[in-house]
Amino acid sequence: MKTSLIILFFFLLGILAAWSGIMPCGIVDDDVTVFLLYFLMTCVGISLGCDSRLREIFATLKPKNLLLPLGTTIGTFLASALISFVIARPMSHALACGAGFAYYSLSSILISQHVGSELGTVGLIANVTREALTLLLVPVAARFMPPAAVISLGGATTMDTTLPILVRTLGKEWTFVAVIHAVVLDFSVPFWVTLFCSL
Amino acid sequence: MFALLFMFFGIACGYFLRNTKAAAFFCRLVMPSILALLFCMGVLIGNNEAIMNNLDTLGLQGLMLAVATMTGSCLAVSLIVRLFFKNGTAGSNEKESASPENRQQGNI
Repeated sequence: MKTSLIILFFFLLGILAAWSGIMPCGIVDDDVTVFLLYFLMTCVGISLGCDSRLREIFATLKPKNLLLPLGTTIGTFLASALISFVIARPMSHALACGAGFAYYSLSSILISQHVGSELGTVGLIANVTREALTLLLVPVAARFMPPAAVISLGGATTMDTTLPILVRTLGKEWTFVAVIHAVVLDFSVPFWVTLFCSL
Repeated sequence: MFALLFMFFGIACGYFLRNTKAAAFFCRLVMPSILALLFCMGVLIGNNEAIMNNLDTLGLQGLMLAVATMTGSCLAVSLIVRLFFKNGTAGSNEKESASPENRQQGNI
């Protein structure tokens, strides 16, 4: 709970700093974020590499774990289809937004190209929110959900931005489960988004 | 995707640096880096006019989609875990390697 609050605080601080104009676009841009991400991934790698259970961690690379991205896909699509009635949009459009699996940069560009910038913005917000909510909720969710379900929250981001918090919360033995989960979803994003946009 | 290369690079470094102070130092940097990354994400979102100017209408739809898809994923995967991973969940090879916390919840 405490971790979630600290995470929320820093996230809101960032939004506030930008909104109030203290941090104009120039200071923090995509390059800074990408550099931080790579640094963070290296640190996570080092913490895995010096772990005495490294062999066990690698042994979690099992074909059976491919069922998890399948579950995430089915759950995401069913939920998107249902929510399409609430937000009063065509089901295919809601599915296109949901099929971003929190991979907002690619999905919002694809949706904007194929359908229009309005739906592209909905997709962008939906997927940014999914990533932000995952970062925020992982420490809390891990208390009452199976670890695999916690990983499914992050969609395609569980191999980069949300991986560190997942590893920290669930334990290092979940690293490759999360990585495989995201690799599969990541590759499926362009396929699904384009498919749903063309329906 | 590129981020994974850095992780494998880190694993190699960590393997050679294991039991050194340098490795322990980098392990301690994970949480501060997560917070720095979140701050930067916040700044990027705060500076994104497409998001900030449409928070009241499109933002609500986006939020509903995000909450719904996360709930759906989590329920579907919970079901899969219950159906197919009875003898040890995805991350654990042996029952012994499960953390006590997870074992209490009966998930492993």
